[in-house]
Parts: sequence; C-alpha cells; structure tokens
Amino acid sequence: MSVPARAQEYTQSILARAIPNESELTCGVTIEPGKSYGFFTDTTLCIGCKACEVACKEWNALPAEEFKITGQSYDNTGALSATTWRHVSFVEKLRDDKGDRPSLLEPFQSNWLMMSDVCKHCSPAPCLEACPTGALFRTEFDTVGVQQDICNGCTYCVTACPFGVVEVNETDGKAHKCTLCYDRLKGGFEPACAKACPTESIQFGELSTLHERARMRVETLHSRGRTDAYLYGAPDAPGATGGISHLNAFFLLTDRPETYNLPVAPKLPSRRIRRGLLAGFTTMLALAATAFVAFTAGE
Amino acid sequence: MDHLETQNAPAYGRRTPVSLQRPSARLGAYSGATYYERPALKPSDYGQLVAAYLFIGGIAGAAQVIATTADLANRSELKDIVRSGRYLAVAGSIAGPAFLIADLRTPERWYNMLRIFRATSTMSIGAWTLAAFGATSGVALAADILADATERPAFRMIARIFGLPAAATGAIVATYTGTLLSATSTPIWAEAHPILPVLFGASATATSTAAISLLAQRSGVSFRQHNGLRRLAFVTAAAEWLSTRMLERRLRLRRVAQPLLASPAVAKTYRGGYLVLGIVAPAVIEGLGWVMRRRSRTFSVAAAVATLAGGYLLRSVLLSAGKTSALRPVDYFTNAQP
Ligand code: SF4
Repeated sequence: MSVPARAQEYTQSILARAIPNESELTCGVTIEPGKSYGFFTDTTLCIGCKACEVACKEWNALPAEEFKITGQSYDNTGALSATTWRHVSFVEKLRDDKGDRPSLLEPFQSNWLMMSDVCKHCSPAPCLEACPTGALFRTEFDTVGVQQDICNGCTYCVTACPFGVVEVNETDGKAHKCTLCYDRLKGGFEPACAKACPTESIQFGELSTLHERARMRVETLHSRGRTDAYLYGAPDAPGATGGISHLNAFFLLTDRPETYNLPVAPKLPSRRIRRGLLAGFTTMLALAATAFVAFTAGE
Repeated sequence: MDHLETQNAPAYGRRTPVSLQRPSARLGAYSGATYYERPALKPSDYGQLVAAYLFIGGIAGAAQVIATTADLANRSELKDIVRSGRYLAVAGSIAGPAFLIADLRTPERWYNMLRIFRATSTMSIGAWTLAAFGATSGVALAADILADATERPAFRMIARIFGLPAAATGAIVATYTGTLLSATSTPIWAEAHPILPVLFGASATATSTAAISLLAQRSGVSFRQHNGLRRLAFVTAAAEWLSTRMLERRLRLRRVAQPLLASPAVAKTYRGGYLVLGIVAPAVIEGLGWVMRRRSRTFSVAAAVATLAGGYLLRSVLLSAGKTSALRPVDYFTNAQP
C-alpha cells in the first residue's frame, strides 16, 4: 500500500494530539457511521507473533490470564474469554498423511497453521438475539457490542454463541467480548489488533471492500497452486450457514474449519424458538384436555 | 513470479481443495481433527438454582392449567383441586423468579429483564410471560378466595375469567424452558429440539398433579378428586415415558447422546433417579393402590413425593448433560455439520 499523501503532514515522531481520521493513514479506511465494518483475517499471512493479542489487551486494559503452560504448541492463551478478545491458535502438523513425522518442509506455511481468532460479529448475531436486556446491541458500524451498564449477567448469550466467544466475567458479573474497538472506530482509529498486525494478516475495513479483497486473495492463492485456500464466514461460505448470513469478521483458511476450532456449519439458535414454543403449548393443550376427561369421567 | 510458484508447488505434494463433508460415514459422529480437543463452545453455567427454577416454574404453570381445567369442568367436588392449583401457581410465580434472580451474576439489575422485549430471545419471552402469568394468577386466586368469603357470584366469575389468560400463560411458563435450552448452541439441547418442551410439559403436568394431590390430601380429598388426579397422573407418566423414548432415540441418532446416556454419574441419575424413581415407581405405587381398591393416603403421598423428586432430577440432569456436551468439541462438530 502506498503512503497516503496526508501522512506527509505528520513528520514529527511525537504528536501533540491524535490525528483526525487516523484510519485513513494506517489502513486507507474512512470510518463513518451507517456503514458495515469488519475484519478479514488471512491465516496464510499469520506468523503467530501475538502482536494482536497484546495490542488488544493493552488498548482495552484487559487483565492478564493466570499463567500456565498448556503443552499445546505455542498456544498458552488457549481460547477467547471475557478478558482475551484476540487469540492466536497454533496448529502444528506433527504427522503427514501416513502418520509419520513429515520429512519435507513446504516453503509456504511449512508445517504450521496459525490463526488469530476473534468475535465474528455475526449477522445476525446469536448472542445479540438471545440477550433479554438489550445490553448486546448492533452499533452504527454494524458490529456487535455489549453495554456493561445494562448487562445483568444472565449468561444466556454465552450459551447462544456458536463460536464460544462471549463470556461472563465472574469478577464484575457482566458479559464481555471483542467490541471491534467501538471506541476507536468512534474516534476514527483502526482497531488495535489490525493496526498492530505486522503482516496484514488482520485487515480492517468496509465489509464489501474486504469481501472483494478476500476473493481476489483466494484466486491468487489458487493460481499459485494453493487450491486449498477458501473463505470462512463470507456470504454463502462455510461459517455463514443455518440462518447466519455472514460474519463481519471472516477468515481465509487452508484446512477444515474444525482444525482451527471453528464449526463448518454453525446455526442460528433462535430459529428453533417458534416451533419449540408451539410444541410446548400444544402439549399443554392436549394434557389439559386429558385432565378434563380425567376429572369428569364417570365412576 | 506467479508462474514460477505454480511450477514449484507440486514438488511438495499438491494440496487438494478442503472437503467440507463430514470426514466419517454419513450421520456418524465427527471423527476428524479437533483443536487439541479444546472446547469449541463456552458451556452454560446453569446449576442447581436454575434447576430449581425449571422445576418450580413447571409446577406453577401446569398447576394453573389444571386448576382452570377443573374450574371449567364446573363441578363443586373439584373445588379443592382448583384452589390448590391456583395457590401453587401464585406461590411458584413468586418463588420461581426469586431463584432466577439469585442466579444472575448481577442480581440487583434483575429489572433489566423487563427493559425491552425481544422475540428472538426465549429468555425475554419467558420473562414477560412470567410477569403476565404472575399478575393474572394473582387476580384469579384473590377473586377465588373473595368468592368464598363473600359468597358473591361476581367474584367467582372474575376468577374464572382471569383463570383463562393465567392458564394460557401458565402453559407457556411450564414449557418455554425446554425451548430456552434448545435455542442455544449446546449440542445436546439443540438436537433435542423440539422434544424438550414436550418432555418439560409432560413432566410439569406430572409434578404439578403430584403437588396438587399432596395439597389436596391435607384438606381431606374426596374420592372423586382423588380418582381424577390418579388418572391424570397415569396419563402424564405415560406421556413423560414416551417423550423420553423419543428424546433418547433422537440423541442417539444424532450421535450426541453421550453426556446424558453414557457418562457415569449423569446417566445413573437420569435412569435410576428420573426414569425409575420419577416415572415408573409412582405409576407402580398408584397402580397397586388401584388394584387393592384402597384410597390409601400413604400410597398417594409416596407416589407424589417420588414424582416430585424425579421431576427435579430431570432438570438437574439435563443441565449438567448440557454443560458436558458443550465442552466436547466432537459433539459440537457433529451437530454443526451442513
Ligand atoms: S461470535 Fe459469538 S459473541 Fe461474537 S457476535 Fe457471534 S454470537 Fe456474538
């Protein structure tokens, strides 16, 4: 990407105040309410540096997790949680197709898969649909946020999320998850993780632009012989299934989604409500009729 | 550049496009790779407080349905059933939400449950239904009591009129909790759709029949009332049994049954506690009473207590099975296939 002309205006290394619409300089995106924004996470570019995890923790002032060694490759973070909103997963190919240790190292992605996971900002979002208080809401940037001053910690969003993202923090009793840096977007800044990513594996932008860019990237990879590359969470792709039309944070993957701990075909849980309620009500109606007969039958 | 890389690629073994079919036989459990067997979902945190609510809410809702049905039968000898049912409904609509609120992580903000209405949230639908149920049940009970105290027929009429919306909302209160669990991403609950609300309805009616008969025993139940309740108990036990057969069959077919039917502690409680103690034992005890042609109080009380205990265990066992289910990535990846 070429350096935007406006960048020439800011040559000093310490700035007196924030640059207006800084996102135009850092990622070429103008952030305006009413438009759809999201993340395109290209796993073929991820080097597993965890800069996104650190940037997220720093910007959002999230506390550290309890320190532990998981023994699961370089992944000591483990999973997304109430206090971890970016999580880099590490998949090591320790066996080849025959079950032996691989003896050939490929020049591309060698025997590693790495992915920076995040809240998918689903559209429609199961967590938001499940929230009875309205604490979970869709922002003016078409992302999903939680209002901690409204959440009463019913934990229903936790069971609704098909990606195991949102969690209620036992310390404050409220639900927490990635906000897609709602505060930064309001101030015209690119989200912290995307800005910190040194390889552009995490790209922030307007959704339609990202979709187009992602499709081109898949085509390029295919033409270079990487025919296993595909999109996850783009419209009509795996991940955007069962009533979920697309994920505002979508991915480019090169192995089955489950390898990265993602479901192939997540479903919108709210689709089961109507028939469920009807089944229950009909049951009670039938039992009431039975009760009527039981009470009035002759001796 | 592009052309060079295309030439190089085959030397390292060609990559094939990723097949998104289930890597095992059709309808088999997912048998492909997982991410270090780490959970792909966050489990629900519902424990005994929620189990108690599911149990109490079920009794309260179904008790109002039974009371209103008995009221519409319009027979003076069913009076105790009507009154007991209405009492249970009001008591449950006070006690039930108390358990729900106690389970919130920020209980002092319970009123935010009524801040908005969201038709895509079973929790929201339940909160509002519960509120309407409590209000109409309260009026129906008060009018019923006043009718007795003042002997004015107008009160009886009010009780009967308010009994209708109370019973309608009661039918939802007794069963929406099944949908509440099914409308989540937890594999075992999601696959139990829409059997769970049917099972919850049958169990709610069985437990409330038991509770009503316990209450009615105290006020000296008539022979006719007793027989009516006993017949209802048989029918609900049969309905429950049938629903559990359907549920088990479905869970096995979808390969997500392990947490309920095969994990040692839960499976034991489910079979021994719920199926045997909660459904079979009461039917056998009541059957014996019938065969012996006795109106034995001990028999009825024993059957009712067993039914109630079973009903509670069902809720508690389903909640812990859900927790285990969400933690098993294989179950979720089996459930989340195209
Ligand atoms: S990934 Fe989960 S938490 Fe994020 S928007 Fe979707 S349902 Fe909500």
